[in-house]
Amino acid sequence: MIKIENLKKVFHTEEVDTIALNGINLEVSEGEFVAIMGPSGCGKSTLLNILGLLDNPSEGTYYLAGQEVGHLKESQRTDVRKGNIGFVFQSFNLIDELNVFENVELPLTFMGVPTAKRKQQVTEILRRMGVSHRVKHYPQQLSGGQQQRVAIARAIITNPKIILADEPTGNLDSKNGTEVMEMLTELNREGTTIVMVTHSQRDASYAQRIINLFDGEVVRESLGL
Amino acid sequence: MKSFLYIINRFRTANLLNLLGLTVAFAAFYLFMTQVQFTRQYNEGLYHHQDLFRLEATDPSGRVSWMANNPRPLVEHLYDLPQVEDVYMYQNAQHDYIVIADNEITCHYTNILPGSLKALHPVVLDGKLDMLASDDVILSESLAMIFFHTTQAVGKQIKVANGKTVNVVGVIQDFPENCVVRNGLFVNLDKIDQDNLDNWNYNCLVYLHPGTDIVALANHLKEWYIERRLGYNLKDATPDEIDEVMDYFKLLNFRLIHISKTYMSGVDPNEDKGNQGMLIVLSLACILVIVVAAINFTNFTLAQTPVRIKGINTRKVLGQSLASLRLGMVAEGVCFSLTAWVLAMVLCLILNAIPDIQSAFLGSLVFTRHIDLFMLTLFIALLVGVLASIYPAWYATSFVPALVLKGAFSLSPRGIFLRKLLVGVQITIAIIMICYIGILALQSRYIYRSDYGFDKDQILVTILQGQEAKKKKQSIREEVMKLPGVENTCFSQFIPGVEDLIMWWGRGTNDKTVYFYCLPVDWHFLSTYGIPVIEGRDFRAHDGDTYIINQTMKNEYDWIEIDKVIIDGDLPVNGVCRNFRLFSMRKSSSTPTAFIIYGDRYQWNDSCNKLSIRVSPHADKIALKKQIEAIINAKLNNQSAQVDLLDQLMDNTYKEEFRFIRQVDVFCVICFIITLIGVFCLTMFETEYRRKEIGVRRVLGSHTFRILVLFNRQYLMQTLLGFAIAIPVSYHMGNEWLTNFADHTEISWWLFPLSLFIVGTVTVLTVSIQSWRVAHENPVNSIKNE
Repeated sequence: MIKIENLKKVFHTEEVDTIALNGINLEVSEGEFVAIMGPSGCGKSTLLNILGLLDNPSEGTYYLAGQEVGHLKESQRTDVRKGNIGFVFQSFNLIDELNVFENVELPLTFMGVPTAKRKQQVTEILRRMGVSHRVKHYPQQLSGGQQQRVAIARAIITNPKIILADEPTGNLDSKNGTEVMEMLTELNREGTTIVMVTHSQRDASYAQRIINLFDGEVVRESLGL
Repeated sequence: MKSFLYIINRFRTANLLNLLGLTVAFAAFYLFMTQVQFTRQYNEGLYHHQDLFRLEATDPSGRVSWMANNPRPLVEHLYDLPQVEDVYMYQNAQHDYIVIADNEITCHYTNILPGSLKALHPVVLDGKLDMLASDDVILSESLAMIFFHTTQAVGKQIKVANGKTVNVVGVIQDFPENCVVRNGLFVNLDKIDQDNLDNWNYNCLVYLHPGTDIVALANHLKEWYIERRLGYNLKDATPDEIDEVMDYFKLLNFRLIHISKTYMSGVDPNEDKGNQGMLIVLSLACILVIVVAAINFTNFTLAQTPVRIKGINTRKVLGQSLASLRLGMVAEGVCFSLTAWVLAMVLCLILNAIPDIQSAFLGSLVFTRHIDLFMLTLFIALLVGVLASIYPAWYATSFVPALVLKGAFSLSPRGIFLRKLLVGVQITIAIIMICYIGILALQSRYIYRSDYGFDKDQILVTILQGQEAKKKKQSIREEVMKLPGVENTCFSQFIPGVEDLIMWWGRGTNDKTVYFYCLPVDWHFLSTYGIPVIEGRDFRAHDGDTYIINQTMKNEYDWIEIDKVIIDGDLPVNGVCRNFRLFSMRKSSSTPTAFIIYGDRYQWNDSCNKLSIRVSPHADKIALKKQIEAIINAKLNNQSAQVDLLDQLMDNTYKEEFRFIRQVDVFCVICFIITLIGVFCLTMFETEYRRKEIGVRRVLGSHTFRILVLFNRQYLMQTLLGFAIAIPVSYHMGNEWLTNFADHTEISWWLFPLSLFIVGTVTVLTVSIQSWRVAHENPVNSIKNE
């Protein structure tokens, strides 16, 4: 599903160049659940952003489902991302001015799905995520756990092949964190590939494989529980 | 759009203020552009205006320069020329009383050559354009509606001021308001001055065939006039005689000026009220107000960007294309701007319904008369919407989404620089406008406070119209003199300081010639106006056919002696009076002038129908005005009398200038308020973004005052920079405007620091009030809030 070779990412500033990723090689198979761990500043989120086509690498190649996508233009990246990759963020990134239903509906709108079908899909996914009683509520009116459920609903509404999760439980208490991790596990069981960045050993334990980064390099790979 | 409405709701006050600023700017642009259009399109509503010219002549003395008056025979000669298609001959429109049944109405009446109205091809609503009898008149539609409530008025009768009854033979559609032809009553000129080459009292508009050589035509008119004056054909004269004649008439010239150029020329003081300088300033002000509002809107949109950037980029992550994101943001800007435009047009409709507002403008303000301007304002609203949102739209979507999704985001150094630059431009424009309005105010004060050389504050004036009034003028005067507080009264043909069109006389031969303005008066005039005689004596009762000249005339023609004729064959001089202001400030005050007292030689008794009343300094002028009006009304058995305070009449003389000053005042206030709205909104956003920083500063020991300084410093620097740019620009603009006045004030140096003080103080207050709340907040709350 994912194959990256000798991936480098350098951030240029006026005074100094910072190497965030330094020659990463990584493969993720279809249906796999991979956790990426490491200390702050080791390049976890940068790697996830590149995997999610939110950023381009400075060097190296990135194959997604057999297609080289590492050096695409912004518009091409958007097209590949649309419907193929779902995102779950630590800070949820729900749009404040849209209610729960509209937030979840948004990716379908961009894919041009007809209104009736959108409504059916969104209702179904919200029911599955246990937030169907909150459809008219705005993000500020929800608890952190509910917000993350809505974010997950939004991530999976298009049936993406991959879900990229950046510290999905970082802003949640342990109970809600566990629920979110169980949801991701369930999605993985249904066949969705999941790549998750986390600091939490407990969250990482849900993954089948754990990759440890340090100073932009893969220093260790191990199997999960 | 939902996001846009959410942002509007979140920053409701700032958005409402911004919408208000944009609305007022669009409304001001439309309203004042109607004034620009009124002036620019003057006379363009006349039939075939492209072929229409005005005949102008110079006085042989060369002192009056060009004038729009010509002798009647010369004008009638134009009909005989092949180059001339048609001619409209008229005398300057005047106000007079017209009586319909028992109602007296003041309206314009214009003496015209019978039939010559046809040249202008008016739309005839009733009757015909021929005026066969001397008492035939033609009415304009609006006047017919006032008089008879119908345009079908042929056969009806009107009693005019001289007691004569005239018959309506035709009703025509109104001419445009912005043209030389005054709507009102068109009266048959009959046969007056048909052979008089000396009475230069007739105006004419001439339709020429395309391609006519106007210089050759003007030369022909000069030749024709000279031949008629001499009584023989120049072809019969010897070369020496021709040289001598041409030398004598060397200062006499004619020209044909295209009608589109007359309004700005000032040649005819009664009609040519346009002013190029004012037009440019007003156009510039219209553009500036839009620029200021557009800058405000851009700044405002830019200031909102950090709030919106996360939502925008989340959409990008979820698959919305860049183009559709940008297009959406631009559409939001356009919607906002169009909302302001709709509100602006509603505001214009409301203002148009208020008579006081209407009277402050020239011509009609309704949209149907200004469709092009209506559409232009709409286009500008669209443009402002696009321009104001295009950079923020590009900017907010130009980041890698991964970067933006990380957390809070603020403007880049480039974005901040752009915002500062735009605020700087706004502040500069505000200072320029304040300096400029200051210069206008100085000139207004100069006009009010100038020494006219006579006691204008103690004079009341009235015009005795009609035959009846003229017959009873002495008895009216006697009654008025009995009123307590009245010190003196006099009759004159002109009122000094008010009228710019006064008789210009030339006397003598080539060897010795005098040229001067001449004011027929009675012997009370100088004492009534308080003009002191400094040499010789004042007029006395029973004086007749004598002059009193002013100092300038005595200095210019130093051979003139008291009690002797000023030139052979003319009248004697009784005395010399101190100089006084004969004309408005538009003309130089230093001109040779003579008062003449009517006697046997000149029969101007009837023409001296302007009664001036000198009242004591402590008299209640308003009460006296009413008492005098009552006396006149009782004497004339009607309600037509109108007595004016001379100083108020003088203010009316500067109606156009004061109207212009008021309009620029409005622009100045609008620009300033919009700029303040801009600064207010920007500070609102800035304090919101910097709440945490302020909290940290306060935790570290910073006082509220230092935080206020922090916020104010940037705006003060921009104000100082704006001030440096504004000084030369406003000085130049003000100087240009002052050149419209022969006599004008000096631009005072203190005006510039004063404008800096005003803008600086208001800006500091605005910023301080807005940032005070955050600076005073418990720092614990600010730090917690992220």
